[in-house]
Amino acid sequence: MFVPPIVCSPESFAPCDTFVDVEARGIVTTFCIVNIPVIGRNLEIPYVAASVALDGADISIFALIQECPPAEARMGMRVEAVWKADGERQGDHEDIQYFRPTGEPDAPQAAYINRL
Amino acid sequence: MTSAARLRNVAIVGFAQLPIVARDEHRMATEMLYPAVRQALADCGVERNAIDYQIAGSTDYMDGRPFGFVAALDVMGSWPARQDLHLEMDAAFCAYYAWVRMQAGECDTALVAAHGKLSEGEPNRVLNLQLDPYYHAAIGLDPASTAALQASAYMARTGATDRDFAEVAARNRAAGARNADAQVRTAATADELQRSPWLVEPLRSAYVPPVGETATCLILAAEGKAEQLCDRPVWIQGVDHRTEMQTLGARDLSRSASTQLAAQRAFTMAGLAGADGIDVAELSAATPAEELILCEALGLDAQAARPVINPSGGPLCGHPIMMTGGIRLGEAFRQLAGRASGHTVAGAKRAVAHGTQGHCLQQNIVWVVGSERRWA
Repeated sequence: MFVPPIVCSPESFAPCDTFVDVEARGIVTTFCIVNIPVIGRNLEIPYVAASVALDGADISIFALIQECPPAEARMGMRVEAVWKADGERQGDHEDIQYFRPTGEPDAPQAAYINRL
Repeated sequence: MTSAARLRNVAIVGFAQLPIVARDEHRMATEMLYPAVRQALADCGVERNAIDYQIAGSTDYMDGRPFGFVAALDVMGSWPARQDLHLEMDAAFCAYYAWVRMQAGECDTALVAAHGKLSEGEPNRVLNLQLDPYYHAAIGLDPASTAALQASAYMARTGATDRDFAEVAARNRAAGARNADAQVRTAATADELQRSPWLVEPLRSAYVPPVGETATCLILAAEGKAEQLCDRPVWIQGVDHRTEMQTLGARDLSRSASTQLAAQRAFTMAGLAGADGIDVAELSAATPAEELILCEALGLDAQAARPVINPSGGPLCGHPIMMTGGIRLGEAFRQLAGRASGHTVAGAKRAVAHGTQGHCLQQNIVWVVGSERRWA
């Protein structure tokens, strides 16, 4: 199950033609702490960029982590998306502003080790 | 390469393309390529594991992403991994590379894909960068301007007129109207086309292709495999490509010396003295001036009944960057394999397909293909 959607599975070559809803909740797999400002974005430095394995998805997506002191970012941390407000969403990837920790216990390694 | 050298017989056994459109609103380039690859394989009755080698043509400069071409690996049936290459070139040149690999005995079947969305790029700005940066790019020349320079040079040497250009364009438009895959599918008379406004004199806006995009996939196979993949394989009898200098002022723009040389070599390889006996010529001519220049270089009589020139409508009816030459090769395949449906040239047995790169026909490849094997 691919997020974002793609036209076919690279492995099996079968078409991917069924849309499935997933919740915008997942697990931080690998991540890094960035100390370089991004031109055109007003991000507080340093910030955390992470590869997030959404619940139910087979591959991870890249995401910004906020509302989390960078030193506390860790593999296995459970996170949830913070969306743009109603009326501001465009139907593109920027509709998700960032992911933040949910406060739940960390996921075991087995839950994400194959989705780094 | 002399005609005495015996080469491996290789054939085109499949070709699939999506209709050329001004803009695919919903799909990325790779999403367009996937159905073309699946169709080409299905037409050959095989799965991806029948292919030994794959090569793709596209331009990262136009896509605006370095190494963006790797995204196509996902949709070319690349797993389990096989030998793969990407060229920043038209599929017609990628096919040549695959042919060379087959001659070297390194593979027996090859998939030649091409992709790209011109609607998402800035063609004039990017193609300006193909020019000499000091004297040509700096003054803002774009493909229409350089093509106009070439058209002007051709008119000066030969006395060709605006009417001559209009008639070439009208013939291509009539042909495109019969090709379900063309982008421009409305016929127009020379009178009508001569009333279109100047784009860059001496080229009218009706003499140049619109921006368009598609995705294409060719399948090549060597003798022994080709017969299993296609009921009427189209055999490669000769091929050659040559490059000229980038500097526009360093060469005679009114002629295509590299096409002439490539044609001589390709005809010789094919065991032919010249273009006699060619039934169809699919030429990557983006303007009527280019078509006339190419006909001269190939030794084709543009007024004669044979060869039929651009029965597909040619690039004037659809010019997707990096795919135009590949489509010419694919159209030659369709004609000889009996798959050209509404725009069939009856009884075609031998064809020339031409591809080009760079401004003013800087680099050219000439394919000679036929219904019979070249080498016994």
